[in-house]
Amino acid sequence: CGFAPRGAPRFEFERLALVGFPSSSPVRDALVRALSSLPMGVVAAPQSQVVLEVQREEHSKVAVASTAAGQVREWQLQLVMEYRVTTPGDELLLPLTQMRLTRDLTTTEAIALAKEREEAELRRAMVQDAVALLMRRLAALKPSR
Amino acid sequence: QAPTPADADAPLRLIKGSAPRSAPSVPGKERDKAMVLKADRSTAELGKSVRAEGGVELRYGDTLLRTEALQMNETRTEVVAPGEVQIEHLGSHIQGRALRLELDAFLGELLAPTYRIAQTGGSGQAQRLDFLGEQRMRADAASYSSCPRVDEQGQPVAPDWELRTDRLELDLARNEGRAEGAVLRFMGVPLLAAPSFSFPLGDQRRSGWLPPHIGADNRSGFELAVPYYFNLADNADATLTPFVMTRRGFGADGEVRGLSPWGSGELQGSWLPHDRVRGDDRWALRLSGQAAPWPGLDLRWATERVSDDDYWKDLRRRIASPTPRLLSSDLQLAQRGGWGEALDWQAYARVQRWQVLQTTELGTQIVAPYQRDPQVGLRLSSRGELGLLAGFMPRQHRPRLEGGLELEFNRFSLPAAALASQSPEGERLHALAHLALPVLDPAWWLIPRLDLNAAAYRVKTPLADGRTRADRVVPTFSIDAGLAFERDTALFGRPMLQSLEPRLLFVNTPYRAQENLPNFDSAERDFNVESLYAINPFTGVDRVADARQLAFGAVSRWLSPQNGEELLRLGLVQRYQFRTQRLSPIPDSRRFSDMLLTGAAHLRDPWYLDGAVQFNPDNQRSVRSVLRARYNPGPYRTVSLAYRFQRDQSEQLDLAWQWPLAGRQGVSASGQSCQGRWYSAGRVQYSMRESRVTDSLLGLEYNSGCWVLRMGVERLSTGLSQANTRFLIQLELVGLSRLGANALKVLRDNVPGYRPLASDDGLPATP
Amino acid sequence: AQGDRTRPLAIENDGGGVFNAQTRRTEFSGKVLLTQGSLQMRANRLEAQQRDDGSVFVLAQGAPTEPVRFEQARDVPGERIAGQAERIEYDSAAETVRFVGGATVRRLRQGQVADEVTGAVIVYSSRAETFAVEGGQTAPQPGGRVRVIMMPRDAAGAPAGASGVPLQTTPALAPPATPR
Repeated sequence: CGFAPRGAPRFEFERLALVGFPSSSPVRDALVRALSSLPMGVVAAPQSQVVLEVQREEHSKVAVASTAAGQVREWQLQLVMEYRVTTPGDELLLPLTQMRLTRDLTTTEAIALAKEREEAELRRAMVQDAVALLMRRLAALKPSR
Repeated sequence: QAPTPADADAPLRLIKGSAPRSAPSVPGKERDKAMVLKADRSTAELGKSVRAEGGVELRYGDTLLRTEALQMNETRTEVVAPGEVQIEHLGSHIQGRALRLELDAFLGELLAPTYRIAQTGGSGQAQRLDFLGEQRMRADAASYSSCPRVDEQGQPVAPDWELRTDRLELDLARNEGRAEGAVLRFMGVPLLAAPSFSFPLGDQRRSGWLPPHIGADNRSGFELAVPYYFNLADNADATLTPFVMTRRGFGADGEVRGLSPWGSGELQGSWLPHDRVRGDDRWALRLSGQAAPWPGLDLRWATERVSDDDYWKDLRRRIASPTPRLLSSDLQLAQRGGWGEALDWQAYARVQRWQVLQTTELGTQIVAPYQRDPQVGLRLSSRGELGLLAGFMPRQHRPRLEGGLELEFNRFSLPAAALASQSPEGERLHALAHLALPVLDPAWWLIPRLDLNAAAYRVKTPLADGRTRADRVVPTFSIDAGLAFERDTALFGRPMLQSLEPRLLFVNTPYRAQENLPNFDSAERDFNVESLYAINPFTGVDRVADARQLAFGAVSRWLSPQNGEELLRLGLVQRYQFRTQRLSPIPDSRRFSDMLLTGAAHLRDPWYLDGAVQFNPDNQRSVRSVLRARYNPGPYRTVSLAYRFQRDQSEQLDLAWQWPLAGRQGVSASGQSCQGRWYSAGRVQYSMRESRVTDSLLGLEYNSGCWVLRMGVERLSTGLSQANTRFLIQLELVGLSRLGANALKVLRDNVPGYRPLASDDGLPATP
Repeated sequence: AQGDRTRPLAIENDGGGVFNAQTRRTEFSGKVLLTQGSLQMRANRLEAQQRDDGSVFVLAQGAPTEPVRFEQARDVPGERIAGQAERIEYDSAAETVRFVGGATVRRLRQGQVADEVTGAVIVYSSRAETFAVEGGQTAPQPGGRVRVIMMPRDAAGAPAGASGVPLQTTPALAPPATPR
């Protein structure tokens, strides 16, 4: 049925700049770790070939199910990112796009401590998803076009 | 808006500014500018004076004068124009008659002026205007409004709102307008009369009144709140909001925020000295902040407490916590560091306590969670531990031993409002260790891993078997393996790159008796992909289920070859038990577990679908399912519908939207991106089992360009049969007060995908 | 300067003058140069008429491409008036100079332009030291408008937007080079 083992992703550039992330950004830390195993340098914008600019990275949660007595029963965890990719000379390679990842998490007050750990694990999973999506976007770029 | 930690010199961005005004051109030094005079006729006395008549135009630096007749005295560049004169200066347009103006110092006066200030889009007319310098002017018997005074056809129209003053002084350098003897009229209705009244002219933070908001709800009656903003310093500000509630009396909300290079802090409080309904004082206090005094050290604190157990029913919007009846007080201290090349360590300490707003009705009581009183721990982990990147393995990775160790002591206590029946307090010392040998390759991965969960307990009230001390050690061996295949294919006629990523997880954990041990922080995980591929169905430390099982599944992704976007993803996961678990969250003797089907699709641009179904193969029925659809063609245009089904428990529809309703699209005078336009946003949760709306929230916002009206209706249940319907209205006069706190902040917290109007950078919404 | 009126008036040209006894008017053609004290005028054709009281009325004709040029020093040291127009009329009795047609007059300070006036007709009274400027089709400015440019007192320099041809001054009365 045509499936072949996947080859290593080919990136058409070696020097990437990460700009605009909030000061403590889990996505940037995970992205830097993921890029560390690649022949890819994370450098400042002027020395880079491609600039990944993140304008919004929001980790939030919204109560989506509550009891009549003000007890939250389900959260929707959200990771919303707005990013664009340009060359150091500000030529647009990927227009501003929004990435929205969600996870559902049930909860009751009695197990708040346990749910706190589960929420942290789900947020790590969302960050991994976001990094994978970003890496695929970067792998599809052809800056030398 | 929580202050974002900024470096020392960055301007403190505490409050979102409104849309940027047109920046005034920097006034150049007039003296070295040439003066160009054009007219039909002119007589000049060399070096002394010039007279000009007929369509006179005088340009001097940034100032342009137009009049019919003009006399200019050259020694002091003083201009006199008896008749009608138009002045353009730094983008502002001023018109009047009988002008005398000393151009160099820009001092002089003008009669019957009408003016439009570029910096604020505000305009008005007066009896007399005194120019007091390059950026300052004062008008007598002046009016001011940012509303247009001429409609599209050019017919003069009365502004929607107008400030009439005995004297109005505009200082464009300090961005401040001061009005004396001011009367504010909105649609002809006098709203405010004040002997003296100051308002900001630009976006810079200035002390002053913020737009008032009026609310009503059936528990507190009508509420009027008028916030006053204090610009304390570059890195600190405060907002005091006195309010009056017809049923409960007078009170005040307050907020103080501070920011510094090494951290930020915020104190919010609300005080209702004598609540006429309850008879006692009602208060709420929230202190939060974060500090990083030196690299590696991270200090965070967030504590919230309220005065009584009914606070959440009566004054719900003054509770910041997302769980209104469970208020957390949390102090965390963590020091991070590294040892050599291979090891990272983190020492941490934490105190976490709860205030539980208990009720007397049996059905709605809360089982209080444990408190960490305190928690002290040390974590060691090998550096560069590569997490499994959702099916995207970067490159060949030499197998390298990785591991981690967590040593932690916890003293678990119960909050005051805990129920008598709750299990006792106690102490726990635990160690979580893991060792893994990941072998990673773009096409496959294999991660053998050994985990160890050791815990020692000490309790005051003896356990079921009489012991007051106990300990146990549970080892776990697991192998995580996966493959990644790809092929070029097509879907609905579009070329696609499809991936197929099968994955297996084998877990082997011996049974260790834990039933009699205390359970402070363990609970069943939700049934999702992450929990199926976890080595323990419990989260937390206290319970480790015995297992000899194999989780298997596959994910297939359809990616766009051009930009690598994931257009469709389908997943299937299930688990097979080689032997029945003796200790598991829900006893399940079946060999095969429920099946989890997940999917997400973004095949046509503004449509997004995603869902997960937990399917019981034995009775062929779904146990739990969440299906979501979102239509999001652009900013401010999003409708999302979520269906949540939990067998025998709940079935709920959740509609959330933000949509412009009517009105013209265009750029108004004040630079707002829309003029005369209604916006609505809201959310309705409908419980299909009880066939009633449980919670609903509707926000309406009318932006006429020079004023914004915000209205909100909110219906929150406060008991099995009671509900609190709350209504809120806020009027904001653009140009008269800086964009203050958006009273509909509740929309931002409760409508997924809601985008506040102030930030309107248009962008296509694709993952 | 004020004293020019009393100074002897000299006219030179290539082709010599034709004297008409009844009208007491002499006509000169070719490159004509008229000087009286610090006052100088250059034109292609010039008519000078002697009056009984000794004063003189001069009419100098040029062409749009070759305007008549006029210069005169002012009492203020270092300042001079320089102007050009299609036709210039000089009346030494009234001490007025009328520039007619595409008229531009500049007040120069140490050789730098301090003020510039352009229009259809400029009447300069050297006694009252005033200009009267009228608009009209022949004004160089679009729409026949009058334009007055006053440079800042200390920073002298070419007037902003002045498009006038840089004026040539000839210190000595050498035979006039063809005016550019």
